[in-house]
Amino acid sequence: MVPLNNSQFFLTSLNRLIESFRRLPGVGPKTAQRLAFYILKMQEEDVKEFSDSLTDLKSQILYCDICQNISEKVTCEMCIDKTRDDSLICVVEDPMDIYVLDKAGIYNGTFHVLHGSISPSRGIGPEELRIKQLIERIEKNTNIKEIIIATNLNLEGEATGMYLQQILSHTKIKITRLARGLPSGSDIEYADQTTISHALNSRVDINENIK
Amino acid sequence: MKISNKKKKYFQTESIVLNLFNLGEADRIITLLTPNYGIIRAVANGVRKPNSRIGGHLDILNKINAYVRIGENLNNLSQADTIDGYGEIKQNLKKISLCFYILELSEKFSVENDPNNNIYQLLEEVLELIKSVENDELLIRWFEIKLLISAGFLPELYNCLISGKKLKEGDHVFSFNEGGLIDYHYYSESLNHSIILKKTIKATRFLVDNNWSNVNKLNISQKTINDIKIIMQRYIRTLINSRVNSETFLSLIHNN
Repeated sequence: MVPLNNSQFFLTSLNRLIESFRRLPGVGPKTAQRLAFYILKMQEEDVKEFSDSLTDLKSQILYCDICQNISEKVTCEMCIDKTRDDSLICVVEDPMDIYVLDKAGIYNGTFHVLHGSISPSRGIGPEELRIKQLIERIEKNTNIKEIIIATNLNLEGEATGMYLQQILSHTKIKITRLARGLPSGSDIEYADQTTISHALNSRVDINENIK
Repeated sequence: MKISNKKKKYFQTESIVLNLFNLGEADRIITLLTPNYGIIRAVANGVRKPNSRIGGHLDILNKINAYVRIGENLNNLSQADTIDGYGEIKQNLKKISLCFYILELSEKFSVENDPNNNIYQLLEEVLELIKSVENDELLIRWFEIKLLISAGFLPELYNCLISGKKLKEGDHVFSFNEGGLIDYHYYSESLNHSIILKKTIKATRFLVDNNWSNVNKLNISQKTINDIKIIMQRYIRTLINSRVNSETFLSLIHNN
């Protein structure tokens, strides 16, 4: 990355902080400068707390040995929770997806985080994802009945889902994919062809739903 | 035709989505290949939200009608609608892996603001063929060669690049740095050279000179297709000075 300011007016430590902020997603040069100057004005103890929380993030946060979600313990709270149905595994791309799916309140199974999706042009293939850990988990736990693939509904997410389906096809486990269709609150007139065709193909019987 | 025309603030173009990058909370930078403007990069605001009106149209591989607002630094994608979502391809992992490869190559060999972009027509044709093609290995080799021609990197296949003399029929040497054939006695293991068999040279010349309907009728052995693949992929790596990332995934899926 080209240094933002080589100017002697900018101290080395300040420049380093600006450069560090610039590496964050969505932070441009001006925002990075603003954040760095804001930190300069903060109380020393607040700055220390902020920097400690950053270093702790890397040193104390682990990946759960079962679901690969970020955790502070070797096995995360969700995997220890006996009230959860461990015969169901919902496979997601990122830890944030767990939060969204769990918040819906209708899923009580377990999760598995891949930490990304297959993106060949960026050099991310199956080896770079936590697919090996998922296979090991399935081999260890004979109780698993269903794997729900909840990767994003784009080409990379679909490729990841299809790859998982291909490598798990030899098992007797049921493999399902999240339904695709129109989002709540959307107008049909703006829907794309792919969404419309998925929505039509996955249409549901209203009478059955009412029951 | 230069798009940074001050009077022109918007333009509409047909395009194929080559790549997407997340930006900020809900935005994306879209890389489009167009017939008249080469590569275009534009920010699409809010498209990662489920209720976005254009988000569903902006998947990699989609052929779309794009409405682009010209910006000082980055363009902005204001509207998009799908012309072809290539649904037949998106249901097949093998075809998807081919597409990742050809899209990456198309991006690597295209330039921004290029008014004479033959690569768009080639990509469009190949995507249409992928829907139903059986010999996809041969199609990819044909695509690589036609792409090199469109980008101005057609390898020399008739004359020796060192002596300039017409090559006699037989086995020769492909020099990746020179960009084509050289006579056998110039071969050096230490240089970026590879021996190329007579029948591989003949098949490569046929791919250069013919359209797909002729190439598809060609009875060509798997070994010759593999030999062309090794030569072309090494030549492409020399030209772009890096690996084509999607190559690994393509091999993984095709060898399974």
